[in-house]
Amino acid sequence: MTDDHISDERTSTEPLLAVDGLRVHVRTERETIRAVDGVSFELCRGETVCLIGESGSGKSVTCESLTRLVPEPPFEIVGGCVEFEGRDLFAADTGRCRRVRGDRIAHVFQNPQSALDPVYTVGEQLIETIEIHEDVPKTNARDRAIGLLRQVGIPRPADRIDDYPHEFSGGMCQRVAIAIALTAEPDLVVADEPTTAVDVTVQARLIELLREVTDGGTSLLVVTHDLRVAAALADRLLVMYGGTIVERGPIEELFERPAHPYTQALFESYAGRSAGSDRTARGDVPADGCRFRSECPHAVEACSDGEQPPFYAVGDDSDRRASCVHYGPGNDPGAVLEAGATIAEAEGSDD
Amino acid sequence: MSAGDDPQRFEDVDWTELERSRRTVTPARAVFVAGLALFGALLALQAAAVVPNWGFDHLDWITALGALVVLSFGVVPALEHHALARRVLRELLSRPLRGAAAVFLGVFAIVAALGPVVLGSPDLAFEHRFHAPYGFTGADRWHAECLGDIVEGEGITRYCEGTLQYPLGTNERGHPMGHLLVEGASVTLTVLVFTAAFVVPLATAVGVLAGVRGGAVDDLLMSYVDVQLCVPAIVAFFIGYMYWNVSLALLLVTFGLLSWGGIARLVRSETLQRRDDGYVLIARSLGGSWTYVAKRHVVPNITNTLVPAAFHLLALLVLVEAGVAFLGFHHVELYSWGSTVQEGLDPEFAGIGLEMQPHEIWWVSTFPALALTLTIASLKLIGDGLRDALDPRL
Repeated sequence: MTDDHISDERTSTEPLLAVDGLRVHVRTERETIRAVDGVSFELCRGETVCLIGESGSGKSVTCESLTRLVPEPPFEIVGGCVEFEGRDLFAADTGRCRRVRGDRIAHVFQNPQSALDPVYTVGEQLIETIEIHEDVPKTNARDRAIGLLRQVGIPRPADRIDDYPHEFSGGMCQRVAIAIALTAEPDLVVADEPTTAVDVTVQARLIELLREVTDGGTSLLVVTHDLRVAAALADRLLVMYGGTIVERGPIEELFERPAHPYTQALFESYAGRSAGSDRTARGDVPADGCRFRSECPHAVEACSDGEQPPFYAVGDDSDRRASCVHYGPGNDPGAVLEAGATIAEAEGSDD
Repeated sequence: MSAGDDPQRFEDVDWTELERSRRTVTPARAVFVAGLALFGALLALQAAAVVPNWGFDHLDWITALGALVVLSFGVVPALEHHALARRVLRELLSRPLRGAAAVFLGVFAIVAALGPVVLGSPDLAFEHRFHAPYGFTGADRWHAECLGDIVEGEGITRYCEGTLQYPLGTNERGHPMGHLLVEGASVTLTVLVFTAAFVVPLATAVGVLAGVRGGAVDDLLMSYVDVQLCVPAIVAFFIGYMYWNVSLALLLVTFGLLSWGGIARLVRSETLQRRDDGYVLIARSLGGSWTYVAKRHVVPNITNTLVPAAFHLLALLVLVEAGVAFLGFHHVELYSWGSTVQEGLDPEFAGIGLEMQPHEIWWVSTFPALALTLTIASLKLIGDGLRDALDPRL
């Protein structure tokens, strides 16, 4: 892949991945949980987008729904569409959907220790993936597997290739998982909390590795609840809450001035000085209106109307958008924005 | 191969074609199809009665089919993955007890498979009945002809010494015990082959299917298993016994096909745990179908539950067969270990008009009972041994 080829694609207007109004429900015997409730976003070639939000906000389900990986049942994709290079993945039959998986869109998951099958050697698992995705003879596949292991930074790959996963550390397993994801040279890597289950030093190396991946022109969608990971990797941020995206924008501006009250609360919790630190655990997230209204310090009557508010531009920047009525026409977002600035400042001085 | 050159690249590659060439013709399937063709030819020969007075009965066909299944989907893959097979075998033999069990079962299988072919059906030899094993003596009044030396005992009692012609003694029909053990082993092997070829795969398939698919499929299959677990196999067997000729085939079908519910449940619960494991998710995220994931990742990872349970079922069905034969519900021409034990324990029941105590003809019941015990113990030991050997973490 040549350099101008990448830049060519980067400037192309058509996004690599376009998600529109994705809705995923979980049907249990007692109730239906709206795990993802109208998520829309786009991802361009070579871009890294971070999906942040607290546990249970629907980040992982969103990622796994892109290629219909979520088990159906109990999950059910009830609406929306996912377009990959302009093609609707949900309209495709399962066979084509499977072909897109791995070959074009690869996943990296949380919990590296269970990422590899304990009954096969690391090499067997890598070689099999290589053989499926590329028609190469066995010896070449083995060389390629060793090369991939070296690429992701496994020391002495030629010796370690015949080891079983339990002989690898968690961080090494995650590296192998990344290597497996990279075998088919995908256009998009979806990494679901890739650094959560490993310690900080390994985290740093994994982040470096993921950065190298994107340097090659691959797009990256990272799910995390760790703002440091987001800061290290992302071009853009999507903030999720209660199954919906509440704020989106380029990372620097979003960090500098979080606009949505939920984003502010999230950043505040990182700064370790939550205004309402005595806040109790929340009850149910409402299923209509602004999902955050019951905890929002700026909540007004309009928040409970209709669906999650549409995205309003924050300030003059068209890339910055927040799903909050205060940014709507005729409202003055000054007070809310001010609160965001204070948090960002407090956090900044902390570092 | 550049990903960006042509966005349609993944559509250009005919993946179904590629997958088919990778998967359709495997050595296991080739052997299976070849075997089926051979059976078809034999069936045609039998139907055309080319060779007079020759033919297989139901049991022979079932056994042959079972053996073919075991050969093509057990032995052939093991030869294919010979490195793994060698490792498992080495680990199995490295522990003395398990090694002994493996050797015993190996010898058992060879003897059971070839013994009846070499020895043929045992002949009636009433004049040689109740000969004691070599080195022991039995009361002389039982036989018409004593082959060994006659030893004088107290009073009028005379004893006949065992000879090398019948090293393990004979029963009330003059059948050599060694020969009866071989016949019993062949019956047991039939039970084992049937269970391993049909019952265990059925239980595994149902369990994995229910666990992987979930939802309505799971509900349906597991409700069926619940219903099946409520039907006592022995009742089904006796109902069949009333209407059809008693045969080993009837026993295998009723007990075999009604006894796998427990394993299916076990496999299902294990599968439910495995299907959420990271490697299953990764395999699917790389484009693996559920069938592929089930075969490649789920089944190998549930072996530490499945293998001991399957071997337990094998042992159980061997015992059930012996038990039913012990009760007398067996085909007279099949010399099951169970029926031989019964003959030895209840000599008067055999209707030969001789008064004797079971301990006086101890060899008739002891040898088959010993063979049964050793077989069952070996099966259980091998089950545990295989589980440990198959798990690379141990």
